[in-house]
Amino acid sequence: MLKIENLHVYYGGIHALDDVSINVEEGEIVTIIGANGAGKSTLLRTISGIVPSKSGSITFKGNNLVKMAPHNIVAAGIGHAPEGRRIFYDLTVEQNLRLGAFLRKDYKEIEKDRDRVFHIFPRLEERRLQLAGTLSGGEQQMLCIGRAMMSKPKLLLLDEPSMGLAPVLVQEIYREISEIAKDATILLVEQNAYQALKTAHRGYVLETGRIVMEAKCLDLAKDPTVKKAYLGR
Amino acid sequence: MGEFLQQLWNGLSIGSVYALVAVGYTLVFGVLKFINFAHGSILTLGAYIALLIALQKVVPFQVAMGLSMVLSGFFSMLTEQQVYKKLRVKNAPRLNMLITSIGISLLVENAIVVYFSADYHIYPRIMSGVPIQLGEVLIPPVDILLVVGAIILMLALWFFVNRTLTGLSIKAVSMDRDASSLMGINVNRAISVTFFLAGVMAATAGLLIGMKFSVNPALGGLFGLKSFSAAVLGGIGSIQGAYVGGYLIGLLETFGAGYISSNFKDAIAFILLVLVLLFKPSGIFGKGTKEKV
Repeated sequence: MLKIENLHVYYGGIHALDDVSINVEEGEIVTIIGANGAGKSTLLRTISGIVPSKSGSITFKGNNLVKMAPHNIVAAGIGHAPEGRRIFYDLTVEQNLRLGAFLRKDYKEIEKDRDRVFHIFPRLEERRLQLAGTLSGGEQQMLCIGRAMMSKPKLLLLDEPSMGLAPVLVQEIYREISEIAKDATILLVEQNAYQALKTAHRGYVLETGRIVMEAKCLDLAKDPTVKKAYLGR
Repeated sequence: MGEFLQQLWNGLSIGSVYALVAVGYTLVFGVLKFINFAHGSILTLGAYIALLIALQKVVPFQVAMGLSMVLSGFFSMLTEQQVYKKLRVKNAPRLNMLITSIGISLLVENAIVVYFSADYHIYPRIMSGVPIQLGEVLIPPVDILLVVGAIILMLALWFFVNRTLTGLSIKAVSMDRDASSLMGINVNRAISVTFFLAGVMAATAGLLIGMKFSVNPALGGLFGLKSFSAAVLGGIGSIQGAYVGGYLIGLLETFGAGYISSNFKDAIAFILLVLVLLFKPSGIFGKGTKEKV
């Protein structure tokens, strides 16, 4: 579904992604784990067209995404819940979700999808008319994911959904991600390797811009170097 | 009392003009985080395009004014698409955009001088000049058009920004450009629409000034700067702030001229600007410094 080959990205003079190749198949949850600054977010931002690439190819369902404008990449079927949530603080929860469906014209279906988001995240429904900036951190993360779901993406990019959340909330968010994953393809980027490996099918390890390992998550979780570096065991 | 009400009305009518122009500064600042100093010259341009069309004697002056509003909107949009956008994509510092906007403003004003000369021009009269007496207050008919027209346009803009999806996308781009593009919003298009709206509002102000007073190529300079003060006073980036700031400047200037000295009339807006910058830099409706660079 998504195929990235030999991707090189420079970010502020740094070689942020060095010859990265990954692929994501339909229906899969693929995770990229790695330390802070390894280039995980840069990879997602490059897929979404926010960060330009130097060389290499990104193809999604046969479309070449390189040099495509971000809004066209959304139209091609990629939804992105960015790092740091980046919700619109001065708009209501409902307005945020409506903007998530900005490109869609099927108004009845938009309402259905909004109801589905409310079904998965009931707390958002309680706060639908509240300004997004007044939500708690966990609720903001739910809104960020829900908003990305509203474009009805074929591939959902999730960037650090656990960041800054209390452990209980992390588990809740991941329960909901598993729920969403029942009928979606997800590329998940996480510092919290434990949760990511538990949720995803297949994983890559990114170290200072290079992919150093790729395996099924079950195998990655057993790997001694992964255990030592990312699972603290 | 009659004197007071008369000043109040005068303040409201000139404040309407400031509010119309101020909202353009605020809208553009919202999406690009820069002060478009060419905005005042769109006011002048709007005033003169109507004159230019009227001189062809093909359409009535009312139609010429309508055309001028639309054409000025497109001109404003073109300055963004052909100039500011090119600076943006090269990641030019905002100072460069600021200086460029001053350049555009000089270009527009001098082009008008070349074509029309620097003299004052009077608009053809489209309504009676005999003031209407309301109690002790004298209201020129053109003032009624000015205040009512400005308020209708301001409400329409408010409705557009807050109640339509395109308006919502402009607000989103003002808050977070990258996140907006992840929603599928064409950021450049949202910015173009913003410049169009700002241009229409400024041109309308120019037309209203032309009908009330007269026009000259330097018109946009002083009106532009005072309206900019109004936008800062209200809190730059806030639409309500621009409206309130515009009316406040209009009222204070009129009362200041009426009760203190008319010599200070033009200084009042700038004294206020300095005071605001000193004591509440974010303005009346401003939200502190949340600007992301």
